[in-house]
Amino acid sequence: MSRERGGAAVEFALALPIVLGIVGMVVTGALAFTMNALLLRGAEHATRVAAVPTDLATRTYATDAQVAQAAADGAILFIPTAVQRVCSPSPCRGGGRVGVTVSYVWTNPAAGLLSAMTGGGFGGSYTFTTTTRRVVE
Amino acid sequence: MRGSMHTDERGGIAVLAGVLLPALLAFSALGFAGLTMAGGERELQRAADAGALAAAAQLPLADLGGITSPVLSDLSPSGATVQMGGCAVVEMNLQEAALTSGFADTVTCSASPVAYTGNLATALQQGLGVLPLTGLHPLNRVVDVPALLPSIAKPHVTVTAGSDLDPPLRGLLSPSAPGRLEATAIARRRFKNAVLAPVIDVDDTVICQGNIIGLLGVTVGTFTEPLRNILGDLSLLNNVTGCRFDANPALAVPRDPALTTLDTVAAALPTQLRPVADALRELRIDLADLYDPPPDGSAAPTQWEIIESAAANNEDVLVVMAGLSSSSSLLSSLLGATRIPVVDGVVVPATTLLDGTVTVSDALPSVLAARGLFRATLVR
Repeated sequence: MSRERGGAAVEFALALPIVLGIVGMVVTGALAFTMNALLLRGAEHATRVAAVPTDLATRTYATDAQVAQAAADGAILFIPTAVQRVCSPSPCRGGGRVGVTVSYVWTNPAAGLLSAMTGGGFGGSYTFTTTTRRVVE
Repeated sequence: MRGSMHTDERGGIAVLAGVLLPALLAFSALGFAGLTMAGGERELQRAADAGALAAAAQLPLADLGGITSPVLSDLSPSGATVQMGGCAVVEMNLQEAALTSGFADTVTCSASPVAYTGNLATALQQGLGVLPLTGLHPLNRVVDVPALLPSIAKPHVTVTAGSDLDPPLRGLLSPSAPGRLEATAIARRRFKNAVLAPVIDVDDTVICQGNIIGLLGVTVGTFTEPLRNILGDLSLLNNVTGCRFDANPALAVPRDPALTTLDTVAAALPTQLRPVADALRELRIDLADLYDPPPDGSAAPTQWEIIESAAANNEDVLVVMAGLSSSSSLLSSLLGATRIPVVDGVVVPATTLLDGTVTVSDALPSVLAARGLFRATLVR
């Protein structure tokens, strides 16, 4: 019986890194999916703002700052690292196309744990990038 | 003692699981909520955009000429929202699409096409009171608002698509009220087919390739024949070589002078008719878009090409006559001006004849019967 004492602690010690690794991956995956979804949301918000004239009479479109703000509003939880608008033809005009590329460099809060668990192969920072396009109104 | 210690070790994994499982579930729910919400909002926004565009393009014309028409009798002086046919169409289509997509469970549509029109009518009445010779209603000739109204209302449609989509932990992601996702789009009705004709004074003679078109029906108090009356004569020239709408100086005017003319007319209108001037500027925006070169770098369409395109699609065309009349008639001298702003507009069917010839014919009896005259643009 005495040899059984501490067995659970050993099992726990062995299982803990694996469990924590799984938890870290789930957390990372969930956050990554969320980030990506929110980034896409931000990009679509920004593209819509870029495509709809702010003044139809003068065919004025949103400024770069307004497009970037729309991307941040759409992303809700974070401010995109970079927002780039490209119109074809340039400058933007009705009937043309506008694309907005939004990027965000995300540092995984579980990076240290995952890096330790995977020998540095998993963790650290990720750059999310998404582009959406639509016809300019 | 040993037994109790042994017993104490049992359930360790349960404790660990009890601590970690909620965290796992919470983060899984967070990811799920993020994806579901973003996807749902995207679908809602697309539904709202598509709905607003469809509704705006299908808004019926309001005809100020029928001042007792159902549309206008619904107007309140304050420009209250009026439910129009466009919304009925879009609500029907959107509700079906919303149910299919599973995202939007409600779609609301409101049209405020002529919040502006009440003011316009008031301004016209004031203008009639201000100008002399009210018995002759000179304004009916100066600015034929009844015929032009399709272009001067500011027809906007607002469509809101909503859903009770409420995934777990949604409150962490969106600061707005829980349990409800909404997307709104506002679209403006715009002209798809429109051409401009210059003002033809009553004492003008239209000659093209030896064909003389006489203008009849000159009466006292008339600067120019109403476009509705003369268009039938002028359209006779359509099939004469060199007299087609775009080649005939009596029928068509180049883009820039035409747009400048609208500015000139708007600026020349009396203060009382400021809503009309604003309306002309709205029309100018539509026409500028029509005649601007397309983004693909190809040439801008000529007026005749717009008519041909309309004929190919079995659509109607708005013909706008705008300019300053140089008539030296008795009435113009009484009004104290020698160049009177004239604006008139009619909707005509563009038709492809059996031999392939495209022609425009007499004006439609009512603008309410116009087909395919509009498109729409998102404005918010």
